[in-house]
Amino acid sequence: MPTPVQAAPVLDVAASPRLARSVSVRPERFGALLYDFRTRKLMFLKSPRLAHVVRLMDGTTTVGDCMDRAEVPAGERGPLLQVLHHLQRIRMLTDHPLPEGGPEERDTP
Amino acid sequence: MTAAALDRRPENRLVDHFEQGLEAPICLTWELTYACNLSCAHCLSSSGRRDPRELTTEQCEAVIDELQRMGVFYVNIGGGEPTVRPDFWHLVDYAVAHQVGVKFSTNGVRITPENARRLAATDYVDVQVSLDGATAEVNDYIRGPGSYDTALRALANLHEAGFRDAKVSVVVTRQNVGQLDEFKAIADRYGATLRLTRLRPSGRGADVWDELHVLPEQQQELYRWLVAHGEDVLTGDSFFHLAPLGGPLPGLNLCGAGRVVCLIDPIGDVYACPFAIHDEFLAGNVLGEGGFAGVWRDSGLFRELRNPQSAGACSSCPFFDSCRGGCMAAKFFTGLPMDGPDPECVLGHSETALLGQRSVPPASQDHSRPFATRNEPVLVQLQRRRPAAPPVSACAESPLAGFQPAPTPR
Ligand code: SF4
Ligand code: SF4
Repeated sequence: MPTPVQAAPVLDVAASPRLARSVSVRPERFGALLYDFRTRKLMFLKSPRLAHVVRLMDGTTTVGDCMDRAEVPAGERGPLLQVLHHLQRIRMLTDHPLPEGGPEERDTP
Repeated sequence: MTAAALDRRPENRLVDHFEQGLEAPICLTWELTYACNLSCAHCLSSSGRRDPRELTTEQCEAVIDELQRMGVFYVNIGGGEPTVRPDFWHLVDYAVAHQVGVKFSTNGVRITPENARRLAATDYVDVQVSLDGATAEVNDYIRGPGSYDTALRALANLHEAGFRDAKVSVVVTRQNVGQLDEFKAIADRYGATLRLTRLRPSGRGADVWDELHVLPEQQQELYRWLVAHGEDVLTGDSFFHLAPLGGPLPGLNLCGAGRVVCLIDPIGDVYACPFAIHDEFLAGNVLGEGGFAGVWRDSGLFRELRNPQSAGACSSCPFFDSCRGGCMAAKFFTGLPMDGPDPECVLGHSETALLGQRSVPPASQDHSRPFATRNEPVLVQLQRRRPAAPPVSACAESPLAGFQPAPTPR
């Protein structure tokens, strides 16, 4: 397996993002599927633990706390934070506080 | 360990998850009606006339409720021409209100400026306009007179209404494979994305496949174009059989029939794939006891398709890992063995089989109009088989009515 020359960017453990309103989650045996209605992107969360962490992210709990609660072993945290960073980059995760108002309201792109 | 390394762990090979099947399909097509204003020569569902057993509005709503419960993200609505159903716009609104996104395919006939504006108002609806030639000449030969103008008007209306990123959906044929740059330019002009799919010998496509499917030398050209533009065009699972020409292309690189793909037809019958509307691939009906979820989870056919498939004659091929023997439906409707090479195997392994003795399965249904219409494509007129003898009326009294003497041996 090739060793990466440069470590891929990771999400800050102190961040407390949540899933964008336009994203739907469906649990699957291998983890979960995410679908973003705004970008029409489909993402695979390829481990049940990663899926669990994403489920716990509510916009107020830090990623570190979510990983503790999902009992993610130390060795898995790095790769998991990389995936989360990617989700944030494609804006499936957002830092915006939950919008006021009804469920119809969505994050502005 | 990197994220990429995580992907490569054996338990994370997506292909394997796909082969075990998912909790719900990712690519669910729902043909709402077999009725259509056009008579395209290659129609995969042999559409034309409405089936009188078509699901009612209430039955369609119940299907949508069930898709919502299953967590189906979106449904690809097609036909026929789905927009000719009087309750079409209601069903789109109903699906969106139930968190089931809609991507629908249309020939553009009902995409008026007003309808385009209502489509532009939501993120949950995507529109694919079918176009099979970058010029009216090439398009109308297959899709019928006037159909090019209709499609372009629809794209213009969507663009003007501010609809972002519509799809221009092209079935690649021998006649249009040289127009890929022009198709791309049309899509760009309307702020749309080009979607290229493979011509499969399904429905009426079986009658014209010999004349329309891309030639071996054109496959090279197509492959090179896809390598150069692959990231900007959508192809679904269309071209993984071309992988041996130089490596896998972007897109879904396996046959997902019954694993990630499936079809609900206008009367609620569930098939393994939209290109496999045949009794052989019928898994059940949404009106049955377990509903659609029951068919998806428990049908014998789907369970079988989720088991590892035999590679047959392809097992010794060095490219089997990426090509996987190609498209099940293409093999079936050309009468080739299901565990052998694709009819368009790029190594030419089906050429002899296609020339030799093979029995093409008879269609198990046909909704084509029995008589020519004003906007019928030339190709269909050429294909329309002339009856060998005048039809026999039910009250014909001659004992020889309908009798066809065998040709006398010389
Ligand atoms: S049968 Fe062909 S069209 Fe259908 S899912 Fe398989 S590869 Fe795709
Ligand atoms: S022999 Fe089979 S696996 Fe190999 S390229 Fe042909 S169809 Fe694909």
